[in-house]
Amino acid sequence: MCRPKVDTSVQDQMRADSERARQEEEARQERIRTGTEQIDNTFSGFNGGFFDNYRSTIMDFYQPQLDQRFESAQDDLTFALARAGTLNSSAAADRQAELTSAYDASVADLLADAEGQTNQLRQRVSGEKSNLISLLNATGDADRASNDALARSQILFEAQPDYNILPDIFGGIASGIGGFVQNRNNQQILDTYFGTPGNPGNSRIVR
Amino acid sequence: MCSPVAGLLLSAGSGLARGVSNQRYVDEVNRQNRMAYEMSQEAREEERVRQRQFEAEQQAVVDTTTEDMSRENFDTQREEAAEDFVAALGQRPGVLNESSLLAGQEDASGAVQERIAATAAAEAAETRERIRALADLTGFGTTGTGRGMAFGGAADQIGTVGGLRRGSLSVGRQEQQIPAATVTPGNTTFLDILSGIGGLTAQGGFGAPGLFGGSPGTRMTGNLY
Repeated sequence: MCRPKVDTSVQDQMRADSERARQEEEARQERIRTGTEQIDNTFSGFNGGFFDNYRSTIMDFYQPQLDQRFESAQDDLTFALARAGTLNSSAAADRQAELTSAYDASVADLLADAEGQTNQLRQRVSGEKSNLISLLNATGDADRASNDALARSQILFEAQPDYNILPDIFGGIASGIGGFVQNRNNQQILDTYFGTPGNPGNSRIVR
Repeated sequence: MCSPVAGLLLSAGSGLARGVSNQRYVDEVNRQNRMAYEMSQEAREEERVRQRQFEAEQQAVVDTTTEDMSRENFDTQREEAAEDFVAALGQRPGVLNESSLLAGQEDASGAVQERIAATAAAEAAETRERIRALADLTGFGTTGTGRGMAFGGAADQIGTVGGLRRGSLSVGRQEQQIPAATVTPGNTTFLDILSGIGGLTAQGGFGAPGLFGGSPGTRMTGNLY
């Protein structure tokens, strides 16, 4: 009769609310962890092998062009040296070594460029993945994150490197070879006809 | 019926009963408050455990990243990247081919061929040095990119766990704020009535006029001036 009355209805309601909130939060966390795993799995194809292949593909595009230019430059050099009669000379050895060195350096430059482009793709992949994780954290929607990961990875897998036609890398290697010999021959002719100081030439002026 | 003693006893009894009732009420309020506090403490402890797990998870990421980002690892990774560059270059056909003769040079004298080979070897050695320098430069870029990505990945992981922490903390706060049950005092109407009766009885017994007539000695005559 005189016992105090205890009313737990509000407490029970709040307890039920907090229990439901905890369950929802745990479910959200599970979705985020699952979604993160799905994103990781989707992007696992972008591994070392993929990037090595990407770099190699860039090189495979450029090297035939470079080889063709090199062979052409070699022919030009051979002809220029032969025309000047210096094919078997130390000058020929120097020019030949210069050409080979230019070729090696060009391949190295192309590889560095391919490496740079590959690094750009790496950064892009990493950025896309990061964006997806941010989206997942914001929404807690693992299915959407998984679908977006598939769509974006598809685009990334289809990414094409920048490519251009190579410039005339070896131009000038053979130039000047004929010019020097031609100038020397011309000078000999002039000397023969007009002489040099202290040595009159063979020419006679007829009046 | 009009005994003042009975009235006093009735009044005292009902007062005592009301005191007990009040004490029960206070005890119940205290009990409910204590239960709510204990429940809150329990929720806080559970949240603390969860937060410690999250913190350990984040710390593991920080530790791994810190170890990966050490100067020694940077040098190792850069060296590996440079070696990889040189190896990739070595796989390309025709590179660093020192012994190529031009068409027509096959007939050159031995001295000339030796000179060609020596010059080519010297130039190739120089080229190797340039390639190595380029490989080192490229190694910086590749390693830097890798580190940036590793940092980004670690930041994502820490950020994700941070989000989980905040979410859990928010629910934890809700769990800790569940109020005590509402306690209302017991109904004392009956005791109040008994007390009133007791009071009146006692008053009547001591000679009050009215309802119970009072005691003979104190009977009111109605002619008091």
